[in-house]
Amino acid sequence: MKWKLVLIITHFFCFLSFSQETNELLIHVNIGNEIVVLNEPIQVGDSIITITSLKFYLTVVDEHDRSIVQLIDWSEAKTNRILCTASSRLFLGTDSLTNVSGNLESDLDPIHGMYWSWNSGYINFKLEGYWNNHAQQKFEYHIGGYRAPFETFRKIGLFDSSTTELLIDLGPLFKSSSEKMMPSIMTPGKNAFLFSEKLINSFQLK
Amino acid sequence: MKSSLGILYLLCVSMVLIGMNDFTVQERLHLVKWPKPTYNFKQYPVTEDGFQLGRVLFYDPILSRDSSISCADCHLQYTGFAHVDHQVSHGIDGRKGTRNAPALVNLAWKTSFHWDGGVSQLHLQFINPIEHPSEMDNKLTVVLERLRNQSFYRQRFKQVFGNESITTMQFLSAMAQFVVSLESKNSTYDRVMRKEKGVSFTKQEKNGYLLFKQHCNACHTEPLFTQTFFANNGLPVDPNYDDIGRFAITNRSVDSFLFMIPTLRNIEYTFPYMHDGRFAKLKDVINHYVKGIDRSTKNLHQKLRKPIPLNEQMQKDLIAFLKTLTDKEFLYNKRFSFPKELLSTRK
Ligand code: HEC
Ligand code: HEC
Repeated sequence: MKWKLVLIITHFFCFLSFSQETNELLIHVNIGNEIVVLNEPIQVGDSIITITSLKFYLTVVDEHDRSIVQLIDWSEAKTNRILCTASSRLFLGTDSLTNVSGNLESDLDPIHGMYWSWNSGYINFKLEGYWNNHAQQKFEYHIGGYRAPFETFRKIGLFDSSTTELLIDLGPLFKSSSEKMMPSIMTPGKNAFLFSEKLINSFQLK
Repeated sequence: MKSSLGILYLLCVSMVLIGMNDFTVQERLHLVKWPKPTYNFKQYPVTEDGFQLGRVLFYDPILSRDSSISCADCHLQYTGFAHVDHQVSHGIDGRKGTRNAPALVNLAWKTSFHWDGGVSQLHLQFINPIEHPSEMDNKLTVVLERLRNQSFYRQRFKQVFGNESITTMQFLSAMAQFVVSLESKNSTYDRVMRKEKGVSFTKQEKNGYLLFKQHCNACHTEPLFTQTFFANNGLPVDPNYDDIGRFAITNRSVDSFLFMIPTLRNIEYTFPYMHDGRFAKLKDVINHYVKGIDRSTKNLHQKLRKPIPLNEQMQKDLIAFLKTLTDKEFLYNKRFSFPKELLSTRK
């Protein structure tokens, strides 16, 4: 009799955790009002921007502190959505534990081109392209780094049941770019840190 | 009461006997003891099949873009798995890197890899030579695809991992099983420390050992002859490379121009020396420590701030000791050499 009770109780708790509301979160990337499509030029102020590659990691941490890392690759339509449960937190990038764990499975596999082999760790956010239709006027931002004081793992926000969208507006990034922003950041460090500080303002849950 | 007096007497006698060997008991106990490996063998276990698969991969040029060079081209067994001939390693198309290939030995005791310590775990290191443009200049995806296309490898991976998927982790962990097994602990030095019959230091080697303990052991610490920290040993910066060392990884100014402390095991054979291979001979290295240290370097390790006064004879003695770290058994161990099946089993 007793064990039956135990069974019922455990089932009840299982049910509770499964019945957790999961939302599908759609990801949109814009520059101002324009939707970002890879390799298609976008007018920003008096210059033109063409983005050739956009990839980044999102980490969802649920209320039990379990985290799931997912790679978003803008060249693949199927990755522009993620699943999350209510009251989980969303972060841009990979946390330090993920960086040192040495587990290179699925989205964390270095074959995705988001891993620094000379400085063990992940590129959290990768943005590449060029200005004004000149393939030579390149910009390349490989933003990552998990060591203090230049960590680039950043909190985007908290979900609630009404959250349905992650809106990313890269516009502000490029507005300042025209005022002498570095054409490339390829290593962890101060520049990557400052970039990620600005970048996180572009991410908004709706 | 009587028995405890007896034990005390025995202890005294053995102390005196051991003392006759010029070493204190404490030193001996400290020396013979090998530390526990830091490698996580639980998480990344080594099996015989896995080791053999890793060995084949290590010697297989299929890993490089044009199938021209293997790991062994830069890490040669007879030279302690270091790269000889060249100051900085040469890769595909003869392209030059900026650093000398270090010896691969006793890596199960290392806590970071590369001259700047940028690589945090052994299996993570292998991606670097494969994708580095001046090393193998390949892509990991291409390597995995090539391996999947060989029935030889499909069979081997199945044997080791139970399936033929040949994933990144399977590939890296097989390589790691070989590389982490490259252990050297049978040099003359080790035999003397283990008090093996008929093995002893010559008078010169013993002198050299004492000098070593005094001037070098703080960084090249026995019995592994390395340390987990990084140091600046006073090499003048080579403007051709401008290598800032550990700073590139940590971005902290206290780390600029700090490099890993290389092991001195098999040092007789792992020339040329230092991160950029600037010294060809051990004599040049000793000369650096005696006369060449750049004391204006901000981060020079404090142990090297004062001069190291070694006359010519002492320098020779020190070199004689360094040569006792050669482990011929390791350098010629057939278990680590080119696997013949690589030629016979594959088209
Ligand atoms: C073109 C020459 C070259 C090739 C080929 C090469 N290496 Fe290396 N290896 C180096 C150099 C140079 C370093 C030092 C890199 C640094 O410190 O930046 C190194 C470092 C290492 C280290 C770190 C050692 C330590 O103590 O920190 C390991 C392990 C290693 N290599 C294994 C391999 C394996 C396995 C392969 C084959 C997949 C390989 N190497 C292929 C040149 C090479
Ligand atoms: C302060 C720590 C320190 C002390 C003390 C020290 N070394 Fe070193 N040693 C290093 C470092 C760091 C390197 C690597 C430097 C580099 O390449 O930039 C090195 C490199 C070497 C190398 C080259 C190894 C190789 O594989 O390239 C040899 C040989 C060597 N040391 C011998 C000695 C001897 C002999 C002494 C004593 C006279 C000594 N060292 C004292 C830190 C030290």
